[in-house]
Amino acid sequence: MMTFNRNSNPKGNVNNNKKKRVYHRRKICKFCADKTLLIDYKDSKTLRLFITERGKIVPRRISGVCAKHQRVLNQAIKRARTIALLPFVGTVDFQQ
Amino acid sequence: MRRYETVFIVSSDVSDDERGTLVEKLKDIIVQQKGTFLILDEWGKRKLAYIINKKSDGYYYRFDYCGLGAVVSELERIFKIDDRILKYLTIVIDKNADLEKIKEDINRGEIKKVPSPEGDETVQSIKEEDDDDDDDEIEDDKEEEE
Repeated sequence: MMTFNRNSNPKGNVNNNKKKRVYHRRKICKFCADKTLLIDYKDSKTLRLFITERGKIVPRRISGVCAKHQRVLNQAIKRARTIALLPFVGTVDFQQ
Repeated sequence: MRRYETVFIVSSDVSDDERGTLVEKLKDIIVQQKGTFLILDEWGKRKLAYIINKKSDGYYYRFDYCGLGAVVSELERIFKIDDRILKYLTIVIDKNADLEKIKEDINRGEIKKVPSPEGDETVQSIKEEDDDDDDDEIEDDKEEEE
């Protein structure tokens, strides 16, 4: 009886559930899915997928990369930054 | 014996001939320090992701070599002295490199040259107008794992 009431009653709950459902999508780690894809600091094209427009590293909760690969990715991005393949801050186009 | 990889950026003001001799000189240093030079990659002129010493582009080179720590320290000492080199990065690829095996791999063509990343980003000509945003990165960028 109780459970039935909960499901049918408050509108707010239903809305919340709906919202969650919309954003819930299972994320797959790109590097686990494709084993041939290697993380290399020289490959700035791939790394660029994992930084924001401002040059920040995209968190794992957003990109869906697994912990293991995120660690490797982190180092690669930081290396690419030191050798000016990726920006520390801002986009590449900011110079013009 | 360890296997190292060094990427460095030469200023775009430097003429082609001068760059050639500079690279040869750096190669000689590796040999002098009893290292073995393996591969030289030229990525050409690329736009830098940020301004270094008021320059917005430079020539990228990659050295692949084997040797002991002395090679790296000597090479990086020269990098620091030379104004024409904007930035450098050395990393260890293999801690216990087997020289014979690597040479064999090169002969068999298994170890190839690394192409320039993002080929479309190589630049023909860039004007230098910006003086305001000038993040001077003076710190030594040396990333070496022990």
